[in-house]
Amino acid sequence: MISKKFGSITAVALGFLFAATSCDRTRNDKGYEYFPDMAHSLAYETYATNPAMADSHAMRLPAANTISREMIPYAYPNTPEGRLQAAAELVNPLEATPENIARGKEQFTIFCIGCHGELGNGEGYLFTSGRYPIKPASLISEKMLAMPDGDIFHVISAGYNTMGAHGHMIRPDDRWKIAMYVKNELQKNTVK
Amino acid sequence: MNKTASKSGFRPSGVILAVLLTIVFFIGKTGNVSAQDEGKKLFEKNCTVCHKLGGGKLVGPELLGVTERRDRAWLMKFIRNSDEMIKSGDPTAVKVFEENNKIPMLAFTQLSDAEISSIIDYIEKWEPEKEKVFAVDVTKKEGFAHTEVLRGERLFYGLIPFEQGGTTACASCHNTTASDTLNWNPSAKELALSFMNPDGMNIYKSMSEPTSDVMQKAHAEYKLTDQEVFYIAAYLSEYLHHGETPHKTFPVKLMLFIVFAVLMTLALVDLIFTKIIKFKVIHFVIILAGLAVHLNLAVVEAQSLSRTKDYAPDQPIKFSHKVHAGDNKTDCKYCHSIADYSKSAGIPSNNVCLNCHKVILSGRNSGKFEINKIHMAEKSGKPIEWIRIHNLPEHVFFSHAQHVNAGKIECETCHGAVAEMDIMKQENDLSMGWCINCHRDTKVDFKDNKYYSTYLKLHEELSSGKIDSVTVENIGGLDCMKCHY
Repeated sequence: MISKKFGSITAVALGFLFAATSCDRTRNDKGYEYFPDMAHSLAYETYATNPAMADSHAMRLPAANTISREMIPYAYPNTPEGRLQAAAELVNPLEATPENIARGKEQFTIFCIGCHGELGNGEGYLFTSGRYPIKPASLISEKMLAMPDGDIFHVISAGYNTMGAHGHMIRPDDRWKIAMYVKNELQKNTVK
Repeated sequence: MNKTASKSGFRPSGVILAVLLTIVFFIGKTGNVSAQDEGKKLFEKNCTVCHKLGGGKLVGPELLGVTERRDRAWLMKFIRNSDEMIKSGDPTAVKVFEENNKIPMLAFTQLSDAEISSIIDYIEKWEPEKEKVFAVDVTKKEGFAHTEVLRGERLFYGLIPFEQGGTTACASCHNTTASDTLNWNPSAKELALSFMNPDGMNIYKSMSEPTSDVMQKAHAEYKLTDQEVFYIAAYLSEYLHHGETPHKTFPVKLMLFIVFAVLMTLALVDLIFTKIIKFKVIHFVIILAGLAVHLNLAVVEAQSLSRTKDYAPDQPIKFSHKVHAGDNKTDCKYCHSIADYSKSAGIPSNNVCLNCHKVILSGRNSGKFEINKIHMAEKSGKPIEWIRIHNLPEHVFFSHAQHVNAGKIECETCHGAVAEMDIMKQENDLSMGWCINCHRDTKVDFKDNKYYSTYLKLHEELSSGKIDSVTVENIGGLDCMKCHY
């Protein structure tokens, strides 16, 4: 009789043990390390602080008056005049192949869809749900239909009005591909 | 009937009196003040996104003095539906439209004439804020007397009631001990830091005029006197010196360890010396169970050494992935835009935050306090120091590019359901066994993904039907030098 009781108690205790997977450390606590000889980098990691630098940034900007390899500085400013000039001067270097347009769609879904919407009509989820108060521009308006790829490329790169510059987030080729997607898919498939 | 009514304190005459008093009170309050208040509220809700009053052009033109420049009827019409006016060819409307980069102003058809009129009244009567005169030294940030600090502490913890109402203590929302769950309200420490920062909050101003809807709601019943705010300021200044009390969890595992150690000792003592329990099976069961528990604890704890699974530190900004990736449906790669071609997934710079937060200045949960930190960082040029959660030892190489771009692995596969996390945490233990298991099981997309086109032999075997799928292991995913070199 007694042994049965004790057996059940131990069973409960064991059950409790396996159920209690909660840790003794709080969420802010990383726990302990065991001989971390080779675990921590001696070289400074990306985004780490570097005590040798006055501003303590490990990531450095290029030295003054230099640019990184393969980087082409963007010359057009975020002004109405800059936009007109860019639209007139910039020419899409890529061909509108199905692959390029598919890639453009992929990038559009990441970077543009939130505001400009799936159809490009400016009815993105952020606006329709009331989270973003200003109506984003429609990419299929009469004005946009008349604009070349370079105009879209410029607005992505430098921004316009309340839209911030996205040039530092999207590589130039992908920007052209987004422009192509807007021109060749969204604007052509608009029901007028 | 009457008896019960009077028992519950429900006296008709009292109610009538109360209603009358309320009406008198409201009549007393309405008039100029409330019309101006309503105009202010409507203005802040509808106009401040694009317009400034006495602060220059934002998206739309500066509105200071607009009532002198334009006729009132014209303004009413323009606010109601500017687009219609421009289309109908009103010369002033077209001119304004063209001067402002041809951005149409939203139509406000939902506002009544009286509401639009109150907005115009507000603009007309608006004056730059007068320096409010305080009864106390509002610039004092340090060197408070000890009694002032003590009084502030008591007010903060609700031990002394506020003179003009407010029942809940400050400390019940602005936590003074570290919290294990997400508290959207700024903690006492953050308030103190912000108070001590020369560009940070002005506690006197923010207590008299709450900055956001969230704060307005939370602070509705608090009308602190200048002196009370001064005491609280004294406490906050002192608070920074002794800091936040760390959060403690109940040590479940340690307790289990001790309980079973005691039980085992008792069993041993009884088995050898006292012999109270006659059935020896019981002793053995207890000792075996105890050993099992201790062994299990040892193994689990040893395995978690150097691994930081479930690590979810407080970040400098209460950024919620649930709000951004979940509710707002923002793609992971919008912010972590270099994940597909870089080793690091990338921590977004201030610019990325400001793409939206240039306009969205107030959060649904945290009000303006958290979002303001981005603007402060932008102004001061001092980067926000996010705390890295996923750390691999130096002797392991891991690249996001390889996994996200070439392998087309979803972010959630390794990072868990980030879109449901208010506080970002490390979902997996990032151990070598975890990596290896995934490399063994994951099938590589050999058909459509051109990245793998150079594996000719595997392609041959695949097309001849010798193998039906290719795992990461087959393409060298278990080679030591793939990750360790």
